[in-house]
Amino acid sequence: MTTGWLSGKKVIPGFLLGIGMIIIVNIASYYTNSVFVQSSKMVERAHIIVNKFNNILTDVEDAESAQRGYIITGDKNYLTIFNNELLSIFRNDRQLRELIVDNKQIEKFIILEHTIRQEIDSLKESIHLRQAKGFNQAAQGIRDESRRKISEATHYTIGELIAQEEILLENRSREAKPRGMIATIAGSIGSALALILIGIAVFTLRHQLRERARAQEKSQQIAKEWETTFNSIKDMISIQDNNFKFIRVNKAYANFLKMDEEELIGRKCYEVFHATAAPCQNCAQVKAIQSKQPCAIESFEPRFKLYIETTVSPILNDRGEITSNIHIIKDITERKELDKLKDEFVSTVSHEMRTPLTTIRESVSQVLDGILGPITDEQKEFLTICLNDSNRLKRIIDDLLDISRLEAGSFKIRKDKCDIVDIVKSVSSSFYPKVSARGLEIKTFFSHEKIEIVADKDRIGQILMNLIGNAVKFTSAGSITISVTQKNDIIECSVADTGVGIGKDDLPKVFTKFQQFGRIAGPGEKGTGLGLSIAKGLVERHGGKIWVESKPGEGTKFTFQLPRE
Amino acid sequence: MAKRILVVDDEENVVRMVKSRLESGGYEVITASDGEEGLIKARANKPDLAILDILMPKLDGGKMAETMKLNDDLKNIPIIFLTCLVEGKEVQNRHMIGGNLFLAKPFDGKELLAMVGKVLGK
Repeated sequence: MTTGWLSGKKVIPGFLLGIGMIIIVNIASYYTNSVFVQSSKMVERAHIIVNKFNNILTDVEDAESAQRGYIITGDKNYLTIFNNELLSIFRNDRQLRELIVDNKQIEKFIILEHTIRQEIDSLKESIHLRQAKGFNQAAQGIRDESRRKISEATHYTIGELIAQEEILLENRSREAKPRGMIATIAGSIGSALALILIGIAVFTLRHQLRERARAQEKSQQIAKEWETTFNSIKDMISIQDNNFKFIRVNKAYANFLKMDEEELIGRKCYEVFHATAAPCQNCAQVKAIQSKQPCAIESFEPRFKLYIETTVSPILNDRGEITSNIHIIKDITERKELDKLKDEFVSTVSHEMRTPLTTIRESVSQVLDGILGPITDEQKEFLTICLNDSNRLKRIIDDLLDISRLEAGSFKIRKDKCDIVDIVKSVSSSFYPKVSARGLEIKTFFSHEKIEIVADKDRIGQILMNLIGNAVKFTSAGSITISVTQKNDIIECSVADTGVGIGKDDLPKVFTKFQQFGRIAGPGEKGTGLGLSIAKGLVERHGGKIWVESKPGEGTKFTFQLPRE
Repeated sequence: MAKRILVVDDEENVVRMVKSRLESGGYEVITASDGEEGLIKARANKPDLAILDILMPKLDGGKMAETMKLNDDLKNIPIIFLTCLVEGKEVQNRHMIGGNLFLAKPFDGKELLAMVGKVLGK
């Protein structure tokens, strides 16, 4: 999948952002629009106000005309007209007061009302005069200067109010125009953004759909590849749940059991494969589930007369729980038979070599010991070389036989109760002459006076012999420390030296057979390159483990642990 | 009088080496090349000690030792098995003849002399 704004994870925030923008633009647009509408309303109201003022002006003028008509003619119809006009003035005045209430012109309007009231009073007064004292008195009043002034004031105030209102009107119209424009622009931007967003949405969606289709195709391809691989492998593979039930099996597995793959699913491994009611005693899956680590074991399957190697790898989810187990069963019968053949061969060869070696070694030894008469110094030197090398040959034969048996699994150990402190003491004492001759020291440490263990005494001695022998061989100054500690049911034994040490790169290879590297041996016996492999094999044969720690120039420490029983 | 030791091995050269080494230690040595011959020589010569190989034709060392244990005249003769490691270990486990000493081939002559000296109380 591509990254950036088109990637699935960012689409939602992207859209939220877009929608947010549209909402903001719309709110702004709504606001400008409402302001625009309000402005328009104000303009409209200003128009109404102007009209009303004009109406009042007309009403006042009509009332004046009606008053004059009555005074001149005395016709009462004019009075009716006059009263109607007064009503009209009051109505318009009331309406104007409502319209003008929030206007800056209210003050002037109050003055106008006052002026109009004065004029109406004056008009009414002259009508009363006409009614009470006749035409001449009334006409006199009309010609009165003060009355004329009142009428003029009314006209003037209304005129001023109208003019003022018109200025306001013009200002509002001018204000309303840009607001309308802003509203239009905001609306356009909003629409444009919405369009762009829809465009992006469509593009993203199409892109994602295409990606998804591609991913689907790819996963189908991978599934096919996996399926084919799974079924092409000659080893028997099954995927099982934690209760040993088959989730999947490959063709090799189904073919081996002469069953259908579907038939096997849901059935239990031990029931189908081993024909037992419970998991095998040293089942690899039991161990793998316990340790949550891949586990491999070799076993003989009596039902099929096959040697098999079973590897179980647990699959863990994010919470560290085992969801399923990959079971791989490899038929190693051929390899085991070859191992057995090799073992038999090595046994025979080593046995056959032993007899001639016995006579070579013993004849040289007897000549050297002077049993057959005196020899020269040079003869003695040569015969010593011959004797040392026959000893070496003997060790190689012994070691070869051991390693061959350990590898073939035919190595027999005889476990008895023994005291490991005793074994360490007797083995280390055999090194004393050599050690003191080289100015070295052997130190021993025991956690208890007596540490009992059920093990093969000779083989434990052999392990110690190999480890101490190595330590002495590679240490030119300092000491060799052997310590034995008992921790509950485990006995830990270590051999540490102050010798040359082993390089980091060589450390993993120390237990590999025929590995003689880096460490330059001091004078004396040459090794066979099998000692540590045999030690490891013997420790494991006892159900224990062995490891090494080392720092070049500082020393090496071999440690092995054995179960007490 | 020198102690008498019976050496039984089908390998002629081994017999020769053992004989030479024991004689250098002042012992009298009689030899046989298989178990049957060994039993005959044992009955005839009443040795103080028998050194036996295990893998031999006709009658092997183990069977020969078992037969000796069943014979009142021979059952008290101490035995050292001079053989290969594995066979020696096997013999050590056998009920009838268990508890006998054994020395692995290829052996060290001086070690053999030391062991013989110990058995014969010399």
